Amino acid sequence: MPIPWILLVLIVPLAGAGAVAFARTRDQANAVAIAVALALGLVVAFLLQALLTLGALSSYGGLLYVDDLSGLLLLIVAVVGLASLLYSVDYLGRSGSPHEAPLPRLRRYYQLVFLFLFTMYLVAEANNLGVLWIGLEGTTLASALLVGYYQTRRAQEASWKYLILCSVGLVFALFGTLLLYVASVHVLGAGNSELNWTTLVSSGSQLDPGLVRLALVFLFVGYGTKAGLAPLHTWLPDAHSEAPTPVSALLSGALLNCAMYALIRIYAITLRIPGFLWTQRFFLIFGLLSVFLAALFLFVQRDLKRLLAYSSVENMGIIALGLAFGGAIGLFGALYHLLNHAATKTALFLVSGNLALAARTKDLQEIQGALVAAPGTGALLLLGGLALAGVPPFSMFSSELLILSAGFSQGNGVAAGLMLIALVLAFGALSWHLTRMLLGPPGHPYAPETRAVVCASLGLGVVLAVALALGLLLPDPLSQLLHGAVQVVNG
Amino acid sequence: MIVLAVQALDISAAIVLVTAWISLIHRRIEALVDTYAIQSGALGITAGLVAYQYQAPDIYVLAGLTIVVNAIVLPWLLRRVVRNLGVSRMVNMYASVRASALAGLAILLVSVWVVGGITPFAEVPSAGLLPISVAVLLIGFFLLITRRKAITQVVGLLVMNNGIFLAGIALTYGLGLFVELGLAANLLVLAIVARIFLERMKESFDHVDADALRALEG
Amino acid sequence: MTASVPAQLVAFVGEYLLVLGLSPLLLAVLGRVKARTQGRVGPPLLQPYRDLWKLIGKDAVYSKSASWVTRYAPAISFAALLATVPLIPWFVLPSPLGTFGDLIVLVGLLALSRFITALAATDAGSTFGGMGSTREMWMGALAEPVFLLVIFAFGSPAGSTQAGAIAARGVSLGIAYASPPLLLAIVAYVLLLLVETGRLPIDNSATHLELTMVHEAMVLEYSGRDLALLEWGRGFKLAIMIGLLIALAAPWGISTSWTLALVSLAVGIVVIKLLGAHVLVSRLEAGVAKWRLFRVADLTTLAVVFAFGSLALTYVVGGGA
Repeated sequence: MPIPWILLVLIVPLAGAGAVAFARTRDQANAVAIAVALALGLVVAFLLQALLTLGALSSYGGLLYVDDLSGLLLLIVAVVGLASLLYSVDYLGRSGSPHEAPLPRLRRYYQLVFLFLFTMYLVAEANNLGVLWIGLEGTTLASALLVGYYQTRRAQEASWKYLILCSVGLVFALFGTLLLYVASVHVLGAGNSELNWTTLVSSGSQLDPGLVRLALVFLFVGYGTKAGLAPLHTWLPDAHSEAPTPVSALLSGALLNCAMYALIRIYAITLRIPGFLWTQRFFLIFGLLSVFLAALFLFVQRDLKRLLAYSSVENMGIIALGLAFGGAIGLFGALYHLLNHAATKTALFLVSGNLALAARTKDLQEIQGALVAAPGTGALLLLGGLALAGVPPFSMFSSELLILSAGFSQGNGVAAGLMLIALVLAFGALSWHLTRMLLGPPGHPYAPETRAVVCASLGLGVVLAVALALGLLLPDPLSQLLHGAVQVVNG
Repeated sequence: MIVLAVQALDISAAIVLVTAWISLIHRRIEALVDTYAIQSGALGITAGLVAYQYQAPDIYVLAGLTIVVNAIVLPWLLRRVVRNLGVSRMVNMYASVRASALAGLAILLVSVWVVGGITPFAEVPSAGLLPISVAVLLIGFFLLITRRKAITQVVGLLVMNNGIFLAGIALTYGLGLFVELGLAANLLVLAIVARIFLERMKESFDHVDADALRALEG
Repeated sequence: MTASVPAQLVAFVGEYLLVLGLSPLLLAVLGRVKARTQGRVGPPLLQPYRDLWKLIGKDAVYSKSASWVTRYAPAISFAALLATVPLIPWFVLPSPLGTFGDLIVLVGLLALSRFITALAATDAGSTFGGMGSTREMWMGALAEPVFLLVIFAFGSPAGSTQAGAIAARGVSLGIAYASPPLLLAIVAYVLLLLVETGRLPIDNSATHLELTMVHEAMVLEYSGRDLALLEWGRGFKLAIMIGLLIALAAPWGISTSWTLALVSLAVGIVVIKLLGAHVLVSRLEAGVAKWRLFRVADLTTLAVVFAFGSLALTYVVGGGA
């Protein structure tokens, strides 16, 4: 009997959440975390292998379904989750760390992170759009408490804002899902599988365009809030900056992509409706707004993590634009960018955590001369920053180039031109902040650079390696996965 | 028989709309919570009628869930929060009662105007309820954005959910058992998470007025 | 089916006997139910009749500065209320003389009654009278436009503003008459009824606290027969407003044929409905405290919302068709 990898992906984090409750010491809790992180990495790797050799897998009467697109998200969540968990072990779990947590808090932290991971895997594997919605709402509930982990006034404000805004957004998304269901029942008659994505895609050509358009409005407002698309992004900088650093990495690297994934699933359905261009229009509007607003806000940021958060908004906008331009190239670019952004941004958040520890502040005005004062961290920040700004040979350059060329070649020249302007602005803002942080004399004494902490460096190493490798050469299995995902969307 | 269930749905929709409007004029939090409980109860009974009409076991489950979770457990949780936190019992608002009531009317008119025309589903007899559901959804949203207290924001969210639920039973007779179980569980967890937050907020702010949450801007 | 003239005459007189005779009892029921819910015993049910009898036997006393307005106002006010009775179908359709005016006339007659009472209250120049009448007229200014709107909400599905036509539609549709627009219109009407008849949370007839009273302040100057008329009129107005609500919202049971058996059955039904509605109103009253005067506008705003919503649903969603 083949091993049910699909199910294991969901069971492992739940089991971890159960197991960590029994941890008697902080070391035991850390051990559980490392075990879960590695186990999840392995399970996802095996699942992806099965996926690449056997094709789309479905299980439990079509309730769970994994195709190449889900595979991409699984990969992202697994990599980001692995890095973030390993980093957490040093950041919160190690005794002597400035953020050291007492055992009960540490246990609860790990439990919530495991639940957060569980809900994100559920999103990736759900076939039923209702279940997908439940997964996304679950991510909000699990991560809201993580965002408020420090329980300071600012953290509580940020997490309440996050909880309410995202919940409201998701209520709208639920309404959109319901309308989609109505459209599907209208075509297929009542049964039990109308909300299944596989069913919706196959009957897509018959769905009523008027109803789907109404559904889209609600779905975009809902999932768009969660994905951090401007102007619905207002929760994002607060939540990202107030959460503990490993959680910020999870939010930016994994969670935003889960919401974007939901939109891509909807997009795939509407692509089947003949002559229906509303999804592309929505993506275009939200995408342009996001890249421009974020690029402008990047200039005025004073907080390191808020800077990274706004860059996430910008990159979500770029992905949305890639989807708006469409076609095989645009889609490939968008999905590729999803992956690149996840890896790069996670690495940067983790580096920024180290930098903030070394400089004892997150304030951009006060961090200066990092290359001199903390050469190791500074060098990593330089690498990550260049990657994020989209400098070749880093992978984000390639995906942005693909999206731009798709835009210009598909007759969306104006939009692509605007996107180019925004990219240049964002590049300017990022490099301006980077030079200020890295060069010059350090304004104040830095803490001695954190000694090579095994777990944190491992976590950081994983994502940095992925980010760099992606830019230099696209490994064959990965390219196969990406092409498969494009196939899934385009049909 | 079909006629009876459709009419019951219509009346229930009207009750939901009426309670949504009434929730706009409440000045005491308990009254707001009670109104929400009545609204949920009306929805649950409607779901029961629809289940009886179609002899559908999963809709019975849905009806039971709604009555237990939305009409009993959630209001109970909210009342306890109000009592235990010792928050002032008044609903603080950005919009006056009269402005809120008129906004509620405007929301209904806009919903009717925008979605009233979308009726591609002639075979669903209660499709005319779509505008009412949208109106309830938006009234809940209005409640959420114009009330200052964190707890009233939660009630707004729950009213929004009821609007969706109304649309669910009116248009599709439920979303399938599995999804509905998940939705109910989500609502419960939401209430619990909100409660944890409110308790923490009380510790650090001495009150649970979301208006105090203004430190983060830009 | 049209009835013979004598039968119509009998029914006409019967309506007056029913409403005039029953209204003190209904007021007593109201007070008693309220007392019971508050844990008191309450006055006996025949007390209002005794009060009226006592007051009628006494002469009226007038202030020296009072003009003819004070003398005639109670009679005019009562007469205006009397004139509204045939406009409402009580137990038989088409009701005798039911077509001589519609509900807009009814609103006008109620306004006349209100106006003349308020005018008389200012006539003698006492402070309380003036205070009560300004409050009363302010509430009237809020309530009357809303009343018209509510009537349109009830009337638009039937395409008529005559109570008889609206009730006839309800009787013929049976249970299918119950619809979302109707429900909204009913809620609007109930809110309006509280304002129009001065019930809690708007006005409290049991208090003579100068800061809060409205209607009581206006009739403070009156005594004897005149006071009897005013007090009777107060219960009478409540019965009319509730009777209209019953006719518009739940007309089932009104007889459409003129056979004696059916009509007497309908009389029984309407008495039960009136009693039930009064009990409901008193329950509603027992549950609330008096509001600040300015919240009256909140209540009427909400009534506007409901009435307008009812109209919107009637015309756009087609719930009333």
